[in-house]
Amino acid sequence: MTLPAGGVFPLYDSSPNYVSGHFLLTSPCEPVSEGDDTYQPLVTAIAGHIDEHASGTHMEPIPLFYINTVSSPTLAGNGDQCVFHAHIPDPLNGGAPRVTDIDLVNLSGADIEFKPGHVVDINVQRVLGSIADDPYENGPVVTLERNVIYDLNDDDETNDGLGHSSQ
Amino acid sequence: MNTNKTQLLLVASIASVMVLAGAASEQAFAHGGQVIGFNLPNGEHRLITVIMGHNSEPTAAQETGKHDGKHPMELFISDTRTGLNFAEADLTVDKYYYKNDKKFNKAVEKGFEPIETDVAVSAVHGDPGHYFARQILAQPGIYGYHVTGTVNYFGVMDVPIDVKAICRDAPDPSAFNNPSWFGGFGCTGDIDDSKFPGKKVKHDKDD
Repeated sequence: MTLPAGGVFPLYDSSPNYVSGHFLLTSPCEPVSEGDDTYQPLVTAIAGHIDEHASGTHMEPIPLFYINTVSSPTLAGNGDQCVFHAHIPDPLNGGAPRVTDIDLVNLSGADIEFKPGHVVDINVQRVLGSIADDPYENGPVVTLERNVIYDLNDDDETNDGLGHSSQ
Repeated sequence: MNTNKTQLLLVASIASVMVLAGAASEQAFAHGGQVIGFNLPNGEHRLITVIMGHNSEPTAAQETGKHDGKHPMELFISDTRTGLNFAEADLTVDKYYYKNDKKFNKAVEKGFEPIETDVAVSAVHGDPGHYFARQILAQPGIYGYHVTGTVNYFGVMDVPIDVKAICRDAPDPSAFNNPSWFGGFGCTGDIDDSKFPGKKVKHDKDD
């Protein structure tokens, strides 16, 4: 599959329930900055709520944890397939607090080609409430920026974030 | 692993276990609460919601052969923005009781004194974010609680908790409650009051 520049790929929609769970992405990747040993996906994962009313829409990039031990830069020396984890929601590191929708967006400026082995896994563990009871307001808020990447396994402590919520 | 057989090379597998939040709560839910603000180590502001009341509302006092009076003081503690529950907390409660309005009003003037102090508040097994101070309500009347301690914010820090409220039918709950308390929980009645048919209630002719 090729996701064109600016393309959006909807992955999940649990509306009206907002949920907690775990998110896994394997994607073509590149260093966060030149020479960095922490990698970011070429594609951007965003989450939050997309409402029929624009004012109730709120989508932000998902804070992602780079898992270097099972990613291709470590295993094969290339950026073909990096593994990222995220906690949905992530009260410690940011992103949208209430998640009903998860999408992939191509903000790279070029086509992204996905190959066999590029996977998204969304494991929903609980329904936390209804977006009808706790709506987003004053939207639309749609933050189209590359994901913030955390890496607990490198020497750089500035990209550790605050850990994870285990939920 | 779940394999999608469409031509798309991107595979999305989704395992969903939908458990409605709060599904374990009892029949009625006359509870109140407080929202407590604090800053994370990185300076970002967060909020914790503490909901307090009696389990199995409406409450009635114990009466031999009629009602066991088991109504633990219960808390539901969650992250306000996300709704995530907090499974780790170190909390105790001071308990207050007034037999009637007259006794409560007297305490408003002279000061509120707890009947019991530092009673343990324990997590309900298998229900993260739900806490009990187990008790049997022995008498009808006005019950109040002052919960203090800490809630562990997802392993990052312990957040001080101070929640204080009296049941809402007290003559002037605001004299006891913390200023930021909202909502309320019911006071405790006599089990015979809920019987039907029960005692004859005299009404004026105009009723």
